[in-house]
Amino acid sequence: MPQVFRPPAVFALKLALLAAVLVIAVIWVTLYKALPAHSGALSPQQPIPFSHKHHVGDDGIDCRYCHWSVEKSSFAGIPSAQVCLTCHSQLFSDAAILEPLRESARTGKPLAWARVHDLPDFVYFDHSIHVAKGVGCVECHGHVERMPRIERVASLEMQWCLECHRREAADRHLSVQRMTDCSTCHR
Amino acid sequence: MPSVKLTRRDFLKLSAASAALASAGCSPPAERIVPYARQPENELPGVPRFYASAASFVGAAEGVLIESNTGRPTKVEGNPAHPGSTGSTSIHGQASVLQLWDPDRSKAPRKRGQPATRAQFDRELNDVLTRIESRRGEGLRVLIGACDSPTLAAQLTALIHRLPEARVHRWDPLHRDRSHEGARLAFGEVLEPIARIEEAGAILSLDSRFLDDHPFRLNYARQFAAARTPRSACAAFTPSRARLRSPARWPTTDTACAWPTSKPGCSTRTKRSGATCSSIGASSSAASRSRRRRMPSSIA
Repeated sequence: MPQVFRPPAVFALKLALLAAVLVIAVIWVTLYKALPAHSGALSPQQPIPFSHKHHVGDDGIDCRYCHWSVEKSSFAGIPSAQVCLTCHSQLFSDAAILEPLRESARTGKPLAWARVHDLPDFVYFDHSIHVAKGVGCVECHGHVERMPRIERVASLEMQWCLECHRREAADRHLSVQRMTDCSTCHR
Repeated sequence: MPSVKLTRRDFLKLSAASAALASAGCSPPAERIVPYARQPENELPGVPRFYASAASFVGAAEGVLIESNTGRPTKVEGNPAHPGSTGSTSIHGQASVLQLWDPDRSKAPRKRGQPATRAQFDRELNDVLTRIESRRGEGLRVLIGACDSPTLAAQLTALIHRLPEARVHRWDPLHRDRSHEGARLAFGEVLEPIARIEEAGAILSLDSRFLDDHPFRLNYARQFAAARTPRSACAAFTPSRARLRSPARWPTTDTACAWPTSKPGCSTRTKRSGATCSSIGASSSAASRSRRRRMPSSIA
């Protein structure tokens, strides 16, 4: 039986097959591994399975009780072990799940929470100005009172920031130029 | 040449491993938030605190404001309320932040290059101090730079009082000994003359880099700049005209209208020239002072 393809054609076919495998691998890695929805970055494991649903939704604790510097600083603040223990020295004071918390208060070694909302370091985001201008927590953080484990709902991409800045500039009759200026966020 | 035997299975295994590595590398780096275990009072993370302090230079204080972020000093800037700073800092002031906090600095004591514990250091220091104390301070020498801190002076006095045989040696390559000597000859006591550079029509500076390594340099620099700015539209523009003599190029000499150079080693002498003249720099060390009595005739 004569050969269907000549050697150069066979080589080209092999290369094409290899390229196809590579392309599929790159697409698979991009879609199912690298994008935040699948990399676990949207809702990472925390050292203590803290439930915003329980604390905010069921108990009705104000955000600012724990994130106390949100009105005064660029950083909203993560409560110290002592703040957690204002209640948990009385409630669930011997629950095994809270052992890392008690250990932190005992030894002075801080807990290391996984960051969920991580902006690039070249963006200067300030919580205090957003809260002062009446932007609610829910606008960016979603309904945390329904989240057993905190997750990210906003893309936190630049287009997403700008959408809101443009909309608010129009609604509040502010200067669009100032609200969308490069140096407003990239200082 | 050694042959590499790679079976088909090995090849596939390696490909899978590299693909897994690549996919792991693609995910964004996980960042941690580390809150306080015990929150200090009045500390706002994200909002720096400023402390007013003073950086010592040539034995004079330079007022500084130190920015501190969650307890870490990160930046040193001038204190606008301090006359020696007027809101500016020098290169030395800027660099002094590394004296406060330097992540590269050794975090533990070392003994002969080997890490040691703090307790070990305390024990050995205690041994040495006991030995020195038993001899009323004989053999104890404190080496110190130019310093005008009254606190440190009081502490040193207390030390000498307690250990009368101890000695304190002061030396700083940048010193104002000759300037002070000149002031003592003129006024009978050691004084630091403060010039009103702003009001000068022309400045003749003899080997004094008053914009570079003078204790009042930041104030002088501000005055010098102000004098070169027309104060109003009708006033005539009268820039300060500085005439300087110095063997080396410095910012002070670069601002000068005229800069007649002198040979290195031809320092001026305070007594004969009569002008406020400081000899600063390693070239005018005490050891070589006697060699440098010659004076260029153009200065006198």
